Amino acid sequence: MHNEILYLGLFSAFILLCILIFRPSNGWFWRLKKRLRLSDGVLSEDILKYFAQCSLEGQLGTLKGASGATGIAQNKSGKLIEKLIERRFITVQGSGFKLSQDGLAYGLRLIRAHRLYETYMYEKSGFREKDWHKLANEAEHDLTINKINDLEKQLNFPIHDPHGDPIPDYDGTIKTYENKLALCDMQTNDTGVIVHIEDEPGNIYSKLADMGLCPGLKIRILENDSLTVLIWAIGKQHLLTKMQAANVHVIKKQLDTKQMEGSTQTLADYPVGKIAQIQRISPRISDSERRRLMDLGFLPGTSIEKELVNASGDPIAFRIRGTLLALRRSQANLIFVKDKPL
Amino acid sequence: MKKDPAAPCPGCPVHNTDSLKRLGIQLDGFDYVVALAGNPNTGKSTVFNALTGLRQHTGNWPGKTVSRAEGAFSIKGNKYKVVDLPGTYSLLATSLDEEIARDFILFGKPDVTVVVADATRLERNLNLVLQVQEITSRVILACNLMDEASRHGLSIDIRSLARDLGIPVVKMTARKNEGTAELLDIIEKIAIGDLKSKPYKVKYTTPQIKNAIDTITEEIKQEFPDIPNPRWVAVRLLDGDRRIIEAVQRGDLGDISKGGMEDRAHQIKVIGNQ
Repeated sequence: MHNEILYLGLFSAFILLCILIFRPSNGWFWRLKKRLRLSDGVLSEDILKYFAQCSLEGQLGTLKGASGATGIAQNKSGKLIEKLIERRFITVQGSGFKLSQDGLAYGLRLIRAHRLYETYMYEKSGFREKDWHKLANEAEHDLTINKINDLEKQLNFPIHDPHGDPIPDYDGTIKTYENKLALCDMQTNDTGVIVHIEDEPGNIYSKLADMGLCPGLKIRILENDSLTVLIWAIGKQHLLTKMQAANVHVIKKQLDTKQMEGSTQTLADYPVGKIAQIQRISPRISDSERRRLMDLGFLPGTSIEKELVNASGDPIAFRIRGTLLALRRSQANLIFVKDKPL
Repeated sequence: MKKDPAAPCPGCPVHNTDSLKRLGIQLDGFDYVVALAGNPNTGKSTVFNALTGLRQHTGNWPGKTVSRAEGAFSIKGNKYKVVDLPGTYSLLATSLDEEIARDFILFGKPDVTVVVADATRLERNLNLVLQVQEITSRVILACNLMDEASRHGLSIDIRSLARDLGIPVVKMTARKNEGTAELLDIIEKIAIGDLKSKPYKVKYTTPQIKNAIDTITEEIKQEFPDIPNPRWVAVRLLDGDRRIIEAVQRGDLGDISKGGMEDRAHQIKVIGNQ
């Protein structure tokens, strides 16, 4: 009798141990594997990438900055930077560091790999926005130059990644927006188009993504006070903290009310049995998906009727151009419609 | 002379099916290439089977034909290679099977392209027809699944459709082998050059776009005077189509639309020597 209980106890303890070690993402095994991967080479590349980003923004890179951005302790960062100086990738400049030609080329290559990989995930994969940055951070160290070029070709030479960051060419040239403003620096009643959303820190980016903000979206500032910024976008109000607003970059543009208003009703919540007219497809939909929808007949002015809804609300079947088509709720949520005029 | 009333008269399209020899996969020494394109699930493979006598797997779900299937038939002494392409919604490829279909229509130089459409979903199917028409004028629209259409109470005005599109349209129910004779007749006429269509071409009305297209079309006409569809190439360049851009840069753009004269001449010589 006691033996059975003992064995059961041991078995349970064994299972618990397995769970602790192998549980996805956080298990001890995976954490150890990750730490072993973080060799000096990988960490040095992270530092170079940080300095390259500083250079693109016209700022001088510092040790503290590098250490903070990459999460590497200052002592270790210092050692790695010294090695990078020896290899002539970095030079000392006043109170900070500057990249040499080679260093800049290397850094830009990493940035290119990172942004192309994010674009790849946006266009071709089902990963959610919150995961792109993390996955790209890992992938950028493994992509060879040829693989990067192939990826670019496969994606048809994108100019920006899904955050709006420009992608450096294979020879390192990069385009930047001259006159972009952070949301928190704009005045009340200014209007503009979002061109960039900062992908770090990750939790701020997640909140912005959840609000539905993305490059290409038209916005208007409603209020801008000391702690928050209230904007109008996608047909409703969004309240952002100053920190969140600082991570959204906009190009000011005169937009009349007609361009701003536009329909806010999406196919996801449209009533069954009523005929709707498609107004536009949200910029959040990736290029390939947008193309596919257009090929299937989703164009401005097309009539569409919701016919069937699954019990859970997802997927939803629509009658369009004589055929019955099913969309996921998340897709239907990005197609804007209005009541069809009689 | 007593005429057998059941025998088809020489001029009638039905006359063809008598001399149709289904050749299965005997693919050597063909004279003309016929491509079968269309939206997924429209009966392309059924048409393919009817023409070649093969038994391509057909069924009711989209995406069965994943790569190219090839077969042959001969009629009135001419041998035709038939290529059954995977279904696509458009030629702006977004998946691998769509790319295969698109590349064949563009670079594989078929002599005749048959677009098989579903009569019960005509509006959506016409997107591809119009795109194919922009590239080549040797197109036939096979309006298939007519039995399904009449079951749903749909009637299709084939004559007006043909007039508006500017290409020949054939009613078919491939499952019952109805319309095959007419289709063969038109395939032959187009292949040997007896029938020349003037397909309807999309008009671009926005001034900026129209100007851009006109300018580039002029330059293409100068660089590549032989290709029959410079305007289509101009539109593809403006759209950033990588394949076309590379073809223009390499200078072998002419290969896209020329009917592969060199290949055929070689084949005819081979047949002649046998």
